[in-house]
Amino acid sequence: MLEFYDIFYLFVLYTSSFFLIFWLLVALDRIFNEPKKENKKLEKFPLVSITIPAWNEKKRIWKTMKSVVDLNYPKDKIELFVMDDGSKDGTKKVVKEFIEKYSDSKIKLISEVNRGKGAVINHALKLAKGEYFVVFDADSTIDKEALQKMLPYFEDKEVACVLPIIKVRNPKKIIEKFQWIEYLATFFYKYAMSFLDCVPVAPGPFSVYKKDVLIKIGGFSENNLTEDLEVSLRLQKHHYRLVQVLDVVSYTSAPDNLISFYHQRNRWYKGGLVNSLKYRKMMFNRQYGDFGMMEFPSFLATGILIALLFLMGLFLGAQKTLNWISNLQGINFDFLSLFDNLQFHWFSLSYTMLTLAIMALFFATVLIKWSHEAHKEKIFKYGWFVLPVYLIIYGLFVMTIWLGVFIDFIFQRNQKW
Amino acid sequence: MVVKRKITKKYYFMTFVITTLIFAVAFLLGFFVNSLNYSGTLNELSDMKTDLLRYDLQYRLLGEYPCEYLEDNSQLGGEYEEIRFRIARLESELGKEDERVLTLKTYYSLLEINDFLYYSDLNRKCGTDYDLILYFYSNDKEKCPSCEKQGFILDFIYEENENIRIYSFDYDLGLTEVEILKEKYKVTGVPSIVVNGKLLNGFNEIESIQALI
Repeated sequence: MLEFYDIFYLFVLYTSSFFLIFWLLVALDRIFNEPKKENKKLEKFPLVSITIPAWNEKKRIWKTMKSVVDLNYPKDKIELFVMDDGSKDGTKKVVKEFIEKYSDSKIKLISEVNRGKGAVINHALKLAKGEYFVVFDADSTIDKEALQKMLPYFEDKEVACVLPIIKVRNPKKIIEKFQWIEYLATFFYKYAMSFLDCVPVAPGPFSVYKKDVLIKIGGFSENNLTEDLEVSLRLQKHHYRLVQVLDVVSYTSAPDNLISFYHQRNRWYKGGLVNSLKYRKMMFNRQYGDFGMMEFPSFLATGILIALLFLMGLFLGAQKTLNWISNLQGINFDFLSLFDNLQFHWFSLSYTMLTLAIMALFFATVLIKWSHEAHKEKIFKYGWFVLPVYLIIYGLFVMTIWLGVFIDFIFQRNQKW
Repeated sequence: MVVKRKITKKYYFMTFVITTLIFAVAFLLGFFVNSLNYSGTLNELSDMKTDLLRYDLQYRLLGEYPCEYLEDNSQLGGEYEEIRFRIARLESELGKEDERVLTLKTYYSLLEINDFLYYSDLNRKCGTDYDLILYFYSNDKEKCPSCEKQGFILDFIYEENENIRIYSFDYDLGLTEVEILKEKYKVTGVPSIVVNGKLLNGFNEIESIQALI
């Protein structure tokens, strides 16, 4: 007999399978039916303004700046703004040294008094003279050929933003390796969804924007938890096209411990929640096509369902545990005799649920396998055990984070950068 | 210039078809396993019935004091336990009111009573000391919140003791034979345990049950 939680569980399984299979179909379509485009060569070299917003990035900013200087693009057609947002660790000194060493590049250091990322990027946007504007997070590096490969997409006049693939830089700890897999899957997803004009977010490392569009829609939002998501949603709102490319890679550092991982995700998901609510008019709005009907609502829906599922799991688990303890108390905790007589009954598993869970796991594995293939990465690059462990426990991380987000949200706990 | 938005209906349609198909397959599989489980349990029950019939006949053929001969045959073993688990599983899958579940429970209860009478006779006539426990329960958690725990304790006692037989009856099954048993031992509610003819009303700790064994 179906209890309430069975029905809820079925509903969650159906919804998540629906999303997974949708993704699978779009990806299949894209892989097999998309006409192969020749990589167009750039004929003109328009001026590109790149900005690196930095706050206490002494250790990592040198590499970031170096990868801008190393770009295969005329040096006089790149202007770099390093926006130091009131760092206290001597980031400025490192930047100044860099500017001295690479004096043939156009680099400007601009000091701010800790105004937040959005404000700092807007300042750079005002100063920028380029036709294109690039936001480049200070903990990342980018392909040398990035601009050569990305700028041709702007020939399509609807395109306002082109995004690279992001991979986790040099993952060592298991949690970084999980994120390695997750990033590959996420960007494969974005690549597939880009086909339907459904890219939800242009992330911080080296997203290239068309500058006049950015200015037209009012620049970046200040004091937003995830200003990159916000600006992407605003671009979607004005029906611009965001393109996810597959052959440009930016490497970025990912949190290497649970606590900073939690904080980063908490900020991302909370930003997602806040901005989803801010642009809720796009949700299930036919005017916004697939983006409004499918991709945009799916984020919030996933979050809510996952948090509820987690709560229900906790509740049922607690109930089961209490029952079990009460039962054990009934036999005076005679564990030894109990384990002597323990029997496992195969028919006590519910086959419907089991089949569905295995199916979902199967589709998730297929998608992850394809993601690896699309990125030309080996699936067991960082050890064979990473993927199975990822599939089993990563969901729990996500659940915990979503629950935390909703708790913070309900109790009005605000989070700053 | 802005993007001309469209809703790519084919993806939604195909996704809907595939997802629904998968769920249909999963449900069919669950359905299939359930009916497999049902017919399996039914087969086992009818095997048990044959065994019981044979013992009954042997008993009658051999006359009044066939004790040695009968005791050699007497282990129906753990089959009861296994069947009880299966029926419980089917009950939680299909519901209390499902006809198949009711059929199995009726069948099972009758065999239990038969077995109980057989062992009672054995005890009386052959001087064996089988401990016979009747357990009246309900799977309705609101009606009997302590039944799960009581069942757990009885399972434990069953595993811990030799020469013990435990017969469980759904209090609300409405079977005439079960009603007669209830009346005979003055059982009026759940959980109730009858240990070697003595009624223990309500929930009982392991010690008070073991004291009677």
